[in-house]
Amino acid sequence: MDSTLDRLKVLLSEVYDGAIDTSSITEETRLVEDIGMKSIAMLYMAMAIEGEFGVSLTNDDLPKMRTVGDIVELVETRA
Amino acid sequence: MSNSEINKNRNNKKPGEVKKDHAVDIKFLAMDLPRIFASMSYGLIYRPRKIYISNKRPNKKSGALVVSNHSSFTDPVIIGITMGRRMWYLAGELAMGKKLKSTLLKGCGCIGIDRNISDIDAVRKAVNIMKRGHYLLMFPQGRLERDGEIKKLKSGAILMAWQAGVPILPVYVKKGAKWYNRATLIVGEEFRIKDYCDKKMPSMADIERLTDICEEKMHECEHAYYEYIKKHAPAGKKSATGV
Repeated sequence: MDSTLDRLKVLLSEVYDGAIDTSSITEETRLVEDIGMKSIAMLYMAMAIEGEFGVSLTNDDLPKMRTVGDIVELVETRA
Repeated sequence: MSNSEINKNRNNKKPGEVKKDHAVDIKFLAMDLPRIFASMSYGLIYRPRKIYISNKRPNKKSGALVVSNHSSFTDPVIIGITMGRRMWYLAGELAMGKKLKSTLLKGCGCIGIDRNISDIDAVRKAVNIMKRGHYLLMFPQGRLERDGEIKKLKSGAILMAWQAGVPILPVYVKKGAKWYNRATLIVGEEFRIKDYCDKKMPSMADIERLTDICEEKMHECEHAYYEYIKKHAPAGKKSATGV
C-alpha cells in the first residue's frame, strides 16, 4: 500500500499537471517557497486531500500546513 | 407500478437535483420573507427585466453557481428578486459587518467568507448548499467595480462549482443611470466544468483556463445587454444607460 507521502505526491502531480518534479518532493519541501503554492492552490489541495484521504480540514488546519511533512502528519493523525 | 418502483423512480435523480423550489417554504421562512418584501419594494423601484441570451433555460431542479458582475450594493437584491428562486449569497467578511448586521444577513442566506485566508469552512458550506440543489450567487471579481466593467475573475468560483458538481450560470446585472430607470438582468447559458475539462480532477492550469472561459461567458452577457439597449433605445434619444 502506498504511503501517505506517495499519495500526496500523486495529488500534487495532478494539481500541477506534471509541472512540478514530484520525485524531488520530501517531507521537508515547503509548499509556498519550494512549490510556489498560492492561496487558491492551497484551497484546492485541501479539497483534494479531503477527497483522497477522507479527512475533514478546517480553517485552523490550513495555516499549519507549511511543509509536505505537515500535511502527512495532519492526515495520519486524522485518518 | 408498485410502491417500491415508485420510490426507486423518485430517488433516481442526478446529484444536486431536487424537487423544484417552492416560492415560499416554512423551512426557509427567514430567507423567503425578506425576499418577498424586497420583491415588493425593490421590484417596484427597479422593475427589473430578465433577458435570456439563449433559448436554453437553466435547469430549475438543479443547484447552480450564479456568477455576476458587481457594480452596486443592490446587485444581490436585484438578482435575488429577478431570478425568482431562493438564493444563497457569498459575501466578504467586510460586507457581512459585525453582530446584528451579520446575523441579519446570515438569516437572509449570506455566507461570510474571509478573503485573507483560504476559507475552507465557508467554501464547504457553500458547496453543500449547491449540492442540495440550491442557487448560490457570488461575484468572482471579488470586489465592487463601480464602472460595471468585468475585470479579471478569481478562480474560486471554478473550484466551488467543480467540488459541488453543479453548472455555472453567468449573469450580467445593470441598474439604470437614474434611480427610477429599470434594472436589467441578462441571464447567460449555464455550462458545466466537464464540458471543457473531462479530467476527474482539473489541474491548476485547467482552473485558470476555465476561469477565462467563465469570464468570456460573462462578457457575452454584457455584450447582449448593450445590444438589447441599442435595439430598444428610442430613435434619436439616448437610453437610460447613456448608450
